[in-house]
Amino acid sequence: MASAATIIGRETRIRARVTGGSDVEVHGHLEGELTVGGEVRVEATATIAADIRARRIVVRGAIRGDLNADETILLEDGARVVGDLRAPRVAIAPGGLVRGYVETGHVGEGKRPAQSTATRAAPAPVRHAPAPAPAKHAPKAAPKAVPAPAPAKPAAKGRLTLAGGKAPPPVVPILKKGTKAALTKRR
Amino acid sequence: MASTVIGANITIEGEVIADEDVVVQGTIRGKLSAKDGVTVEAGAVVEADVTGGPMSLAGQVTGNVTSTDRVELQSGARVVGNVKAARITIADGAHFKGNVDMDV
Amino acid sequence: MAQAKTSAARHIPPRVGSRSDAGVLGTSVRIRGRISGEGDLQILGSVEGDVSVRGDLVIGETAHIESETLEAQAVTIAGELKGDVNATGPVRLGATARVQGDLKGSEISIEEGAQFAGRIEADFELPASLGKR
Repeated sequence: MASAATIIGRETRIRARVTGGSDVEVHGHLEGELTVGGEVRVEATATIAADIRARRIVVRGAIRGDLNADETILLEDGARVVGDLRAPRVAIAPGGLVRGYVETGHVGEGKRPAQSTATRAAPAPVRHAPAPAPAKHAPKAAPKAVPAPAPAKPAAKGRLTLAGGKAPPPVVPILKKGTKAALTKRR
Repeated sequence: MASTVIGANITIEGEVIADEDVVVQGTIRGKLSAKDGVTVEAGAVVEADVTGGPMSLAGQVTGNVTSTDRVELQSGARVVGNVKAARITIADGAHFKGNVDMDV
Repeated sequence: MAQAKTSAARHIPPRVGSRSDAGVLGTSVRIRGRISGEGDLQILGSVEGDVSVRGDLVIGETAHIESETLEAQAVTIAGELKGDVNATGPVRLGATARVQGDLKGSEISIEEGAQFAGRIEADFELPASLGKR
């Protein structure tokens, strides 16, 4: 039997930390924090001032906060979001409005594009964020190089290839275990 | 009939203010204030002062309960706190500890 | 003075984008440098450099673009782009798009499956209850 969904009615205001395992549907006002294991639906009349973490987030209302999903974030027509969106899959329908940083792919991978202007001087291959299986729970993306799941083939550095329309796999420096220790020892 | 339902697996730490009915199946720690009815179902845990209209309490409530209407403690309810209401019903099997003020 | 009629055989070399129908940069085309034009443009090949067209821009699935900015009216992306998009019209990312860069346009839409990392700055206001920033 599916766990009962939570419905925050249109005439309800919540100023709290909301946590749990199941689905939450918001029609009213929520201020604070919303972290659930299920699906969050922010309906058209909802106004939310909170970061939202869930398996799946569907937005039709207004949110000031960051959205993090294990699977998908969908912004439908009518959605107004000021904040960052991070999920393996993100879709924004025409009419869905967002002002913030948006990143698809596994949470924890990928670098902020703010670096892209700096790296443009030395063009690097475009990183692919694989999006097959839903990401496991991971802390918010740290802007460090993360070991890539794909085999580290030596790729054509800095050049866009044409062959078959596929870009080279991401070149990420993978430090051998003990490298950091070896380096500090050397000092 | 619009109402807010706090589901069984949900915990709310903070304030809930509703201009409509509220049904609690999960946990609320903080404050619960409804304009209309409040239903605390069996299995629910409310650690908060509760104010509202007609109330049906079957779960656990720790806090002061203030109603503009009637408060019903169902069998199995565990209520610790003062109850202020126009009318109060305590069913057989309900646990209650607190003062009752019907001078509303 | 007799006015010489222009010969019908005179060859007028077409300028890229001077006509209203789309210019196309094919799959095997590689360009390094700035592209600008008056009309629509469809890119299927590889471009390293800025693109600025007055019309609509379509980046095909086979395209690879690396630029500082892309400027156009409507922008539709099905391929790979590393660079910012500055559109006066809608910006649409299809499911096969791989984009790294900031998007600006009258309307931004992203199909599920697209890979994207960047900022989106739509112009709108949140309801007053959520405060202003």
